[in-house]
Amino acid sequence: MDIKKLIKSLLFIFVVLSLGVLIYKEYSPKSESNVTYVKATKVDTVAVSGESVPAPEDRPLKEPATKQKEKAPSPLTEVKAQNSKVIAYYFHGTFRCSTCRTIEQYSHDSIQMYFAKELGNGTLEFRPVNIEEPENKHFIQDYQLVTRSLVLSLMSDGKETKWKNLADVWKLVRDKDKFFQYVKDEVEKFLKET
Amino acid sequence: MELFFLASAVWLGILTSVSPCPLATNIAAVSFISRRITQRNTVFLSGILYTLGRSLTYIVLGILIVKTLVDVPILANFLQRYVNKILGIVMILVGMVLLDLLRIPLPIPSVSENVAKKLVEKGAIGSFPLGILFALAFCPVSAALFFGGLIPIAVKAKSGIWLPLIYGIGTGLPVLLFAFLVAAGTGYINNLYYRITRIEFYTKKATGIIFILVGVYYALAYIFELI
Repeated sequence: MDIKKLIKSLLFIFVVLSLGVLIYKEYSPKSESNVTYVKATKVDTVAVSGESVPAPEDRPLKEPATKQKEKAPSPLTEVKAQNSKVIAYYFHGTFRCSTCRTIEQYSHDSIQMYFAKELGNGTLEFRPVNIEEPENKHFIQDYQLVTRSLVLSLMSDGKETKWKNLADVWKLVRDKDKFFQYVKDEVEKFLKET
Repeated sequence: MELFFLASAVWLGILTSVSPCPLATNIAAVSFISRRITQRNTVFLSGILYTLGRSLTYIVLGILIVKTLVDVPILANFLQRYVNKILGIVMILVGMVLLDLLRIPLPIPSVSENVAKKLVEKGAIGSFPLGILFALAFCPVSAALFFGGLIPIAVKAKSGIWLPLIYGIGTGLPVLLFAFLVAAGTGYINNLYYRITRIEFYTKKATGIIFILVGVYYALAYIFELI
């Protein structure tokens, strides 16, 4: 009988704690003021690229590498990067499911594998973004996102001229070769226009 | 062409139900439906009601999207974000009721207690709201398949009711099938009356424990964001 009461109390404590954390997380004054600021900032600036990689466990090696390349490029690539570039966004939420991780991994790996040169000279960039962060919420409307998605965006002179949601990643995630080929073909189409 | 739409809807539904991310809720659903394991009719009725509950959710969403101009991305992200957070808490409480740790306070004790008791004893009716709730808890895969796969077809076919209904049945099929197999399997030991009554005692307890565990998992994953 006592064990029953103990379990009951423990579960109640857990429920109340959960509710508390839930409410606290919703109403905590977390960077509300940032929303307008980042919205106004051009998405392709180097400053934002650091912020938009929110999950620290994600691939700590990759981010500093891209940052470095963007910050100290040769004059030629700098000009090119400013004119036009392709950004491959991977949009995810705070909760990460296993299929979503696979999609992110495949997207990242296929881009690394086929487009090392473009990644190096700044015409292509892979950017994971958590859309549940307040400053990234605008992406939901911008790209009409209903779930975790891989979106290619073509930027010319700081403006976005074209974007495409690669929705077939969900169909192809069980076939690695086709997935890689799909990402390769789509990215190539976008790179042709830079 | 119509047949093609219908087949796609069933297939998308089945894909949704077998994808790994709603696995936890599927386990809870199977255990809930088959907890009256000796009463095969109740198990089957529960399965049907659970599936219809799922379909109802998809029909309401389908009508909202096809007939009115609801903003699909906002709706999709809202459901994925908030329903999963609340789901954990609700499941822990339901699990506590199943384990008799918690009694549902009834507003009018005299009349409704009997009615409510009968419904609970029957055990089937609870499967309907369970289906509604579990269908609302979209995860990334089911959101991709429903909002990204089914809704475009439903919009094209101008069908906000039938295709979501078929899709809902598809999402319930494996759970229904599994629960039915579980119930059918117990037929082999049906002649031992005593053993069976003990089994029911344990299946109800097991269902309660599974609900609490799944609820804790959801709370840890979506509220505390630890998993």
